[in-house]
Amino acid sequence: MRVKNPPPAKYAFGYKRPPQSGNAINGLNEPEKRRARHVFHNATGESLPWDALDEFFSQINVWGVVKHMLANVWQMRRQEGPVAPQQVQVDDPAAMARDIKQVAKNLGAGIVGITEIFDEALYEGHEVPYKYAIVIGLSMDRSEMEHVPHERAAVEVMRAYREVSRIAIELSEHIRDMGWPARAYGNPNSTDILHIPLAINAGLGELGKHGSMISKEYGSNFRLATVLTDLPLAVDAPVDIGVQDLCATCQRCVLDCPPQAIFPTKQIVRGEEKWYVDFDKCIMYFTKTYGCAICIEVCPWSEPGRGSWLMETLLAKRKP
Amino acid sequence: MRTIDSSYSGQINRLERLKRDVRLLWRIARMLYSYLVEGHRIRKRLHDKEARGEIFYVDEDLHA
Repeated sequence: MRVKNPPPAKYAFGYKRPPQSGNAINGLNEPEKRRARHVFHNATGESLPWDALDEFFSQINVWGVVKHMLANVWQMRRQEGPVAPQQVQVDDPAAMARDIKQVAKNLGAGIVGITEIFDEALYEGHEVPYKYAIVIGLSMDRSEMEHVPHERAAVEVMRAYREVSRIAIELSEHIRDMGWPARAYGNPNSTDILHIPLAINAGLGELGKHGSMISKEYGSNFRLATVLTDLPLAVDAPVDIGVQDLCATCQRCVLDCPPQAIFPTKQIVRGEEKWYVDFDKCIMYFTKTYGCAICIEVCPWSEPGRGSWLMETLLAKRKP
Repeated sequence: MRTIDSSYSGQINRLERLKRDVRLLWRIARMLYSYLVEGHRIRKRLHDKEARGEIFYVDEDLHA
């Protein structure tokens, strides 16, 4: 899809004294590996350099978004709870992983993957007392998302966050009923974990040029939530679906980004070469348009029914 | 209107959970009030400044 006449990247708001660059906070051009730091949509209660814009974003947002956000806050009270005293013994982690994925799908999940928790998936200064992450993806309604950048799409994004959070909460309750500790992590506000690195390691997709994950099933037209647990589970392996091949030459998101925030080549970020989006440019347009999302919707992978064909075509091209 | 994730609360009893829920409801009510009242003022100030061709400085005008 193409976005017709997006608003220009000119702003009636800004900082008089600009805070530390979000790119510096994110570790752009840093050669050493380190964990990520919170930069926006932070729910830890810590004070951060971009807090004023974050608050402004909440206050100018439309009621449809705020309504879902408040309902999400309320349901997240169930992210943790009592663990049943009788523990279900797990002799076959692979069978348990299949069962858990089926439960998640019965609750409404679109895609589900499992990984062990690793260092780069935790924010700096945060630890979690769990071994596994179950990452859940839920597709958004494409007919609403086609309106990006518009409040209709913003409402759909928050509705999807609320719904995928509900699935994670109910899955965590199911695991706790089995006598194993579990905690659900919703979105978009972050505390301990980074959902995208976990999702990539859990085999749900690959990082795309627009800085979001691309899955075979939905492209980038989805939202994530995660359940952390100690329930013994077989883990999934990261996948190669050809995203790197496409993003190396495709310029769709780069060209369609009004503030020109998407780097056309991979950058060094916290000691790793990866796709990266200029935070300082992106966040102003993101705020102006209640969450933008142009890049994820113009991505060829997000075209419904196209993912499998793209994957097969791209992987076939590699054969000599 | 920042949301704060709840602290770990796995093994709290029913009364403590009720207290936590009441605190959370109170926080949601404050967030709602903030959006409706403060947010209304902020949105109005933004539009006024925009109409005059001025910049709304988030680090100065948000709580002015």
